[in-house]
Amino acid sequence: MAARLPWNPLWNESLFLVSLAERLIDDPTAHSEDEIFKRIAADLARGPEGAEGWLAFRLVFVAREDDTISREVLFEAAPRALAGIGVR
Amino acid sequence: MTLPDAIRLTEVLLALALLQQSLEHLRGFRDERALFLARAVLCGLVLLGFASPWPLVAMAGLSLLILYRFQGPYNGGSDRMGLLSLWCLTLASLAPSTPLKELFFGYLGAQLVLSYFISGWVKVVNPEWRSGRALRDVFQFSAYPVAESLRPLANRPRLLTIMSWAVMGFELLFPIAMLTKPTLIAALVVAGTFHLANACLFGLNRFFWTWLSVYPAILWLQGRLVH
Repeated sequence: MAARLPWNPLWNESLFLVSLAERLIDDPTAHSEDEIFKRIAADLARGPEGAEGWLAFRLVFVAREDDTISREVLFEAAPRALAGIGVR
Repeated sequence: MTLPDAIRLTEVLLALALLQQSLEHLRGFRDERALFLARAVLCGLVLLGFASPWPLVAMAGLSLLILYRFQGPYNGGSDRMGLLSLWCLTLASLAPSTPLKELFFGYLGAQLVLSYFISGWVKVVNPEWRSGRALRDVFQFSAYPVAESLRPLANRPRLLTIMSWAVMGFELLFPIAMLTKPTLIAALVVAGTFHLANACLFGLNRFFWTWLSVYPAILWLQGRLVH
């Protein structure tokens, strides 16, 4: 756990993705959607076999209603060709 | 602590905090790397005290480009506090008179006090925080716990209610700690431990370094107001 203190870039990027998801719901902009596409595509490209084809994502928000946990899809992005997403 | 000493210490600690963040961004995209490499160099110049205050002024200017790049703060509250500190230090360093320097630097210390008090107030007026339910939700299904092994804490409601009230009580009472130097130091030790726990449990490492870097401002402000 202490190692996270000086170096935690992946987790901080995850938190930025959470912020982008919240922005997409509260105040949608192309920037938020582009950033999420770019960061998912970059993550896929880092995989052992790279990635090709199409990419889409959806945002599922989790909330508690009384004693039950509900999940709701609040955003679905139109698919984009991975080749067209800049990952550098 | 004299005003110049407190300002210099805050500058050094902030430069270290921003350097840590900048290094994390060097694994990012090309445009991010360029922005944060420039900031890392400027942090180095601030640490060395080279050509003061211009590296600080350049960092303040660069902060606007970084805000534009991410269309807002990258890391929420920790970025906001870092920006506030950077701009207060820059204005204090450029201010032509001591009273103005005190005003800009004192404002930073006052904002730190408010950051704790308002955070406590927002929680205490929320019934879910008062019942401990909010903290249970954090562990049960929020994106924040850094490990799945932490989620079972959601099944300990009594512990989480006690933790909720401990956090709210501490945050609301924080301004009272300004009355004396020993109580303020004790409060800052507790607050630093709180940020450390958040860094370990929720991965919020940037909050730890950023808030710590502003502590000299509040220590100076306490001395300035009380004596």
